[in-house]
Amino acid sequence: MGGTRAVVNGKLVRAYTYVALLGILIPLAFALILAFKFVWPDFLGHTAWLQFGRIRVFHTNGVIYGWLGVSFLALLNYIVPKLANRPLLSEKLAWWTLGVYIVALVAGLGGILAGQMQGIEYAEMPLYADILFAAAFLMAVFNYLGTLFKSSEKQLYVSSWYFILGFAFTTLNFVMANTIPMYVAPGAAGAAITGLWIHNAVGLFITPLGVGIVYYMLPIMLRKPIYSHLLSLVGFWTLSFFYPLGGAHHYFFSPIPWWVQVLAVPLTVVLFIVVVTVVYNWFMTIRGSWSEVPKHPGTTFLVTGIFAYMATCTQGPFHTFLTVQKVIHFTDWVVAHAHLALFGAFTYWNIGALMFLWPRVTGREIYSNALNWWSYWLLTLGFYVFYFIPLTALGLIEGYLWLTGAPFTDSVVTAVPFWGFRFVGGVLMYIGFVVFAYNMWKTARAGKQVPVPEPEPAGLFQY
Amino acid sequence: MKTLERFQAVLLISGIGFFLVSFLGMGIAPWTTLRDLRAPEGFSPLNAQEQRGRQIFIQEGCWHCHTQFVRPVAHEELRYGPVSDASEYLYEIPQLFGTRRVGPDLAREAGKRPDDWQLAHLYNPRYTVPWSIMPGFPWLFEEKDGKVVPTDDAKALVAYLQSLGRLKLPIMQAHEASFRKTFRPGSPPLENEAMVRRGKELFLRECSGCHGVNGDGFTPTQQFLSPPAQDLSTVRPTAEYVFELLNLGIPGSAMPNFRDYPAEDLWAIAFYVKRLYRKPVALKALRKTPEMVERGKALYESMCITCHGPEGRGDGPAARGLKPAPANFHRLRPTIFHTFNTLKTGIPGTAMVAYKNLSEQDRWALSYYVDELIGGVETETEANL
Repeated sequence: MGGTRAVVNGKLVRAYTYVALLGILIPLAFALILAFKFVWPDFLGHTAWLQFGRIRVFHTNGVIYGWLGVSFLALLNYIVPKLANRPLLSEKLAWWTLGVYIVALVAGLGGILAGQMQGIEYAEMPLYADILFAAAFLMAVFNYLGTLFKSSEKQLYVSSWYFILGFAFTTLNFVMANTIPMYVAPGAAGAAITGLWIHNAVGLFITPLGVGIVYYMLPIMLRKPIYSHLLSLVGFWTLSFFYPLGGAHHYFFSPIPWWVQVLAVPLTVVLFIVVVTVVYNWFMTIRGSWSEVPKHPGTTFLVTGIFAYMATCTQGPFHTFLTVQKVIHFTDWVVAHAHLALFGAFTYWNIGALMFLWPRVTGREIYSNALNWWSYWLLTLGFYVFYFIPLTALGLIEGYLWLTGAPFTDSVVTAVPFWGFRFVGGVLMYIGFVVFAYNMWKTARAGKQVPVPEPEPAGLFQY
Repeated sequence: MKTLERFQAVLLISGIGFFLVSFLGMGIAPWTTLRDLRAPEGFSPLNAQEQRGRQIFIQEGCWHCHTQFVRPVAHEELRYGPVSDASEYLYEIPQLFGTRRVGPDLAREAGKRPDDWQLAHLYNPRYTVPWSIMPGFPWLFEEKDGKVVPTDDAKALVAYLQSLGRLKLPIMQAHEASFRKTFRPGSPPLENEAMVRRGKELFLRECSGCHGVNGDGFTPTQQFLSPPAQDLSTVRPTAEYVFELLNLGIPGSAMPNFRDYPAEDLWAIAFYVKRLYRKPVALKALRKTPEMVERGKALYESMCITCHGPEGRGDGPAARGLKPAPANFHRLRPTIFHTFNTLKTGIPGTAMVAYKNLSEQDRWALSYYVDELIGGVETETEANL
């Protein structure tokens, strides 16, 4: 890989990144209102578009499509040309993609607030937004796949496999979710397909793009190649085969045919092997370079995210044991688990990667390293101390209260102080994000100019 | 090995092939298992109004906090009712099973509570359930002549809620009937201050929405309720009576049962409710005389006896089937002021009408007679404040 040709369009990466930053700041402002409503339900209670149910869905969809979706694309605009060693197939198409994507976001999230929500989790945006999203996504997929396909590089690096997997799967999955269980498949049959969709949205949209990004970032950050090519191959193929088969575990003990639920247990447990393979590969890469990790906040974010990924992916198989499921299902435990994945792992990866690559796409040094560390500690303390731990404990309390036949009241009255903690955590996390966004913005405006962006060492992505 | 790293292999096998494997295996195959499912006997699809209600239920995101299936584990059949089966959901598109329970499951909501409770709760959940964190939906209501009235959307949503699990309603009702039949209050525990304090805490948590924090029934909830919640400051119910109502609820009214609480807690509430009685301060009653009591007896026997029974135990020949049941004065123990006022206003939503053409004197006479029936608790001094 030459690395001498300027294949990355920095302007494109910057524009996507700014949209992604809005994609986190706006939905999280709603999340704060949401967290506050848990302790004071009448807060803003007379405004229909700020109704709890609507802003909850605004938060989940906003973060998934607005923040994670756009920040993935921002990073892909950097990584895909680098891996293909050629510019994007069409930069014009990438601009159009961003435009359509923004329209889709505004239409979809606006539709939710206006009370046009649909009834499939994570696919609640109304039909017109679905079509716009599908269009934007297809444009992006065409562009990235085309770039990789036309690459003159002899080898396809592991990150590229994951990206290709994520593109193909997500396109099909998104169309499936917004048609079959929404309009055709009734009751338990619909639930099985909905389970498949929810599961794949996390596992084959967010996971492959995130994992692909880590596979690209780790070698750059530590300036050495990945530990084992074989392990990355094993991790990739086991993920893509086994992961989508466990979808029914979102509806354990439901009227979905029992054989599907029973099958979902071992098919989920096997994912433990997948995560161990991948994470072992990463840790063995870091081995010998641990001292590099705290030197750059971006690297720290990324590696903290790896720990969260390991934890949340270990929780997953554990959750499918039916005795565990009996207690924790429907509780705040699951809420904490979901945030450990989407916030603790994937958001940390994207922040870390953006932080690290930002000087290369702006040609400027980070405005303030101290601010980056502030955002790291605000996000980390806010999340783990005030969010993850209290809510995990609360989930157990709720589960056992229900199990022992206590009045439903008890599970709510007991939860309120824990939800209060969560609000405090939310405030800290929000400040952390504001600091991060401010620092990114300020860097692009006023950071010290770096004449030549640091090139990657040659041969990092070859075996 | 090298083949597995090629663009085409990754795209076609893992990206598209494995999607199809999962779609067929975990998406379509379960559907074929369910293909022979038929609607159970007595199943009726949602009507237009209920469909509209379901649409609102979806649009407002209600299904994110309220699941709609009862699991065969964690004693859920005791808490919610019969375990769900696939045939109940044959026509549900999209399904609304849900994945999180911030609020209780709604799969067996049909008939659990009357419409007036549902509407009050929808307007502001704290009106009926003070501890609730559910959002209110005031925009589903409008103000008409100074009164809050539900729009068609609110009515549709309630109609939908009342349809949830109606297929299993006979089972639920049979279970309820057998509970009522076998229910025995048992003997009350010893009343002590700690219990009364606990009773107060629970009263504020569960009862104060409708009955008011002082128990005087002066709450915004009342505008929705028919019959209204009992004013507890003008009656002196026995603890056994309150304990029984807490276990059984009052069918035909918005008063639910609280039997998921341990008996000790319900006794605590009962002891506290007894203390909500307030001596009236500024009311003037006509002086009690033997003639008045006689007059009251005659009136009672001509007007009240068919429902309230000869001894005022609520067991007259017309009482059968009345919901809510006519008052048993020996258990409710109304003050003369309570009886006097009730005669004047009646109780909307019950068989107790307002006796507007009764003279004031006659109403006092009846009130004194009812007081005599329950043993003349009202002392003369109290009555002539």
